[in-house]
Amino acid sequence: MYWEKYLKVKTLHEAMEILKLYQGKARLIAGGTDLVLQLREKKKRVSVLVDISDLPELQYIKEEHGQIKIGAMTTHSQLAASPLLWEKVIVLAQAASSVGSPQIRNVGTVGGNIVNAQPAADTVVALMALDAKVVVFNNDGGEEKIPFSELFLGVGESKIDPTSQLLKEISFSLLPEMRSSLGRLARRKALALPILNIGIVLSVNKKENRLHEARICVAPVAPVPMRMKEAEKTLLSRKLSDELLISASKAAFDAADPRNSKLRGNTAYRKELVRVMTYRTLKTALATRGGVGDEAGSITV
Amino acid sequence: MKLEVLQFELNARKVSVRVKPDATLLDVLREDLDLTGAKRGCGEGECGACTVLIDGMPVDSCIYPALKAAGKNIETIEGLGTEDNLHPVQKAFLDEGAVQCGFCTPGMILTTTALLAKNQSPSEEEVKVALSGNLCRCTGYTKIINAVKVAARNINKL
Amino acid sequence: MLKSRAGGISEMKKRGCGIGSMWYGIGNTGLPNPSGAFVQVLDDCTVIIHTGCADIGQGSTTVLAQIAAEELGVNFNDISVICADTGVTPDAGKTSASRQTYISGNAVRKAAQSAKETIFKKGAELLQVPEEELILKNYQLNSLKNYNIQISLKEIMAKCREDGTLVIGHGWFNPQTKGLDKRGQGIPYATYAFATQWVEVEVDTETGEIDILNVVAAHDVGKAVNPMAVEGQIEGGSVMGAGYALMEEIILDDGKIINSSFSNYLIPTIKDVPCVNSIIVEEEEVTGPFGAKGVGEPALIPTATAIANAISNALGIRFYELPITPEKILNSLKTANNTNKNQRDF
Repeated sequence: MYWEKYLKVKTLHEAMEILKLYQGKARLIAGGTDLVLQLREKKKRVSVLVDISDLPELQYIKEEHGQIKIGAMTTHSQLAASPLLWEKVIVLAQAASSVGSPQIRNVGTVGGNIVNAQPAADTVVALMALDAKVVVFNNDGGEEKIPFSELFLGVGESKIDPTSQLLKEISFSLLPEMRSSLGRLARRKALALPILNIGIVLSVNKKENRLHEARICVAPVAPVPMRMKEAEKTLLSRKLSDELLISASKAAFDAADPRNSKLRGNTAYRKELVRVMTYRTLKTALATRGGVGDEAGSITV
Repeated sequence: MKLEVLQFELNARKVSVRVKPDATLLDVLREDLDLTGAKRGCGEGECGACTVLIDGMPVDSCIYPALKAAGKNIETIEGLGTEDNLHPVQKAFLDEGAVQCGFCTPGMILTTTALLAKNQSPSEEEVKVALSGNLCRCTGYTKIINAVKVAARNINKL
Repeated sequence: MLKSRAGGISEMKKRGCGIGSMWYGIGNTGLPNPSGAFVQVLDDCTVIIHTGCADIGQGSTTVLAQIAAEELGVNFNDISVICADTGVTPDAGKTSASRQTYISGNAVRKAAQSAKETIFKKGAELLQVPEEELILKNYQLNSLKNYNIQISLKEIMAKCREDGTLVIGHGWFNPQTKGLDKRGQGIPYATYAFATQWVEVEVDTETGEIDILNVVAAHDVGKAVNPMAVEGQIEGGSVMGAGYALMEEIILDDGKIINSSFSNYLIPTIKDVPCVNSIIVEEEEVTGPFGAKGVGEPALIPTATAIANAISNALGIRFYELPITPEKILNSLKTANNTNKNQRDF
């Protein structure tokens, strides 16, 4: 048997009670598009599944005080259909649209995607670039807020323990003159895991033609999604220009250290793609509208 | 092993069936309910041959826990039309030669009906995105795209 | 070099066209591979075909019914086909080797002709004209010399019942081949299919990604008994050819296949290929049923060649190994001393 009990709960409280009761033998399930397969292939084991995917209090996308807040059980389809995201945080809308296939997106949730902790997962890469924070409920009744960068411990290893913790909400701040984009490379145009996923979020200082903030997340080049700190520093160091973007891309190239992979390609090839795609995604981000106070639209360098 | 009772709406009828707790929706449809229209193409949500509609949305039933479907509205290909009274999408697929071995067809047709319910005149690109989770090895997709366009036209005429 | 039209950002894309041509033998190589069939005409002028031919979706059941309907002058909808039932149908060999239209088609046609002989014999008797003078069309037997001399098929069938004559024919066909000798010489096939495909691609010279923009596929099928089904074969085969060229490969690690699932053995999705433009060429094959031969495998064969040639046309580099992956493209571009490269200088 892949699992012994499957329980659909009606409240958050019920979910936490069941987790406490089973002391590690029960875990939460959202859409299950990753988990069901892992359990059937015996890559993970569990006795009891607690399905929280239908809880309406966990499905929302809203803007509040300059922040976007997203319920963990919001599906990728719901994110991909959100006019708010397309208007203000295009990188996340693009990421959600890129996951798997329409069938997977209709069931899979952003919360499940995060807890599954694959480094190159589309929404993970986007949220890393968005400097998101998550709200996690513990089964002792407590609640904590965890920065995104602390959530990933290794490939498939999340800081969040689904046998005792519930990821409730993801949030991030909107930036002034925010520009963002997702750069994605895969071996075919649908139903394909990414060879490379780059999430870029920028805040532009239009008056001085430079950046207030720059965030670049690249994966998979390590067991966890990686922020390219050197590249980000480079981007903040001086005025915007094509040469600046090229410099930043080179910094990302230098920092990336993906292994030789039979499925994804050898190291040299993958590093070259990091350089090319960082440059392109930076350019696309600057050319895309979206963010607080956005008036004029695209920025060309 | 204790079987669990699963109740849901199936092709507009209320259904109650006893299932293994770790069964997938595909298992239950094919083995317990004799609805073999949904196919097991890969068993891992990578081909769409198992597609059914849950609350109007295409879903891979091979990785969907059966008990997750409790209280939901499921549509399978068997609920779509009859031999004497084909659904416009079924008719279009037949008329346009979009069916060869037929293995992908129930999934393709259901995904198409879901698309046309939301978007009466999809562009070719929109058709491709909607069907991007349904693989076909026989047709090369050309006639499937034609069939969707023809179905859209015919449904709009009704 | 073409600039990408998307978003005003130049993406170093190059376009090219290529052609691939092929010829391919129909039927098993140099070995007998016969098909048999029974055709029976019933009192109500409907027809039953028994054939061992298994339709795997390519449409052989339809094509065989069409052939019988054409031969017997009846409506396609009056034909029933009982197929691939080892309990009652005669052996028709495998559905493979692009052979069923050609071989089972001939078997069915001959079986229908054999049934027709009985109808002609009865008709000649009743109309008092020689059999050679008769034509069977639209449920009617007419004299070619005098069209007014006629009798309905229904009447003929009624007369046959009266004297206990069954209208049932059998037919079989085996292509004329000669087995291959020690040197591999012989006559391996009785007929060949021919095709040329043309492909246009666009290559991103910085990521190595390849987009297939256009495919035109011209196939000589002798006679397209069912043009829509022939197109279906051409379209499906060429998309499989595109997968073969660009994304399909079995990856081994220490002798083990590490990509044996749909998630990592990749075949084209609907987003990966354009609509295929097929052109049917009909150069009658005299040994085929109404001139028809095969198209199943031919559809797959020239596509990878056309794609490889198109990429070569775009980049000025030849590739001799499939699949042509983005990684191979980038590696080749790097090592080639190509002054037209014009890549961004990082």
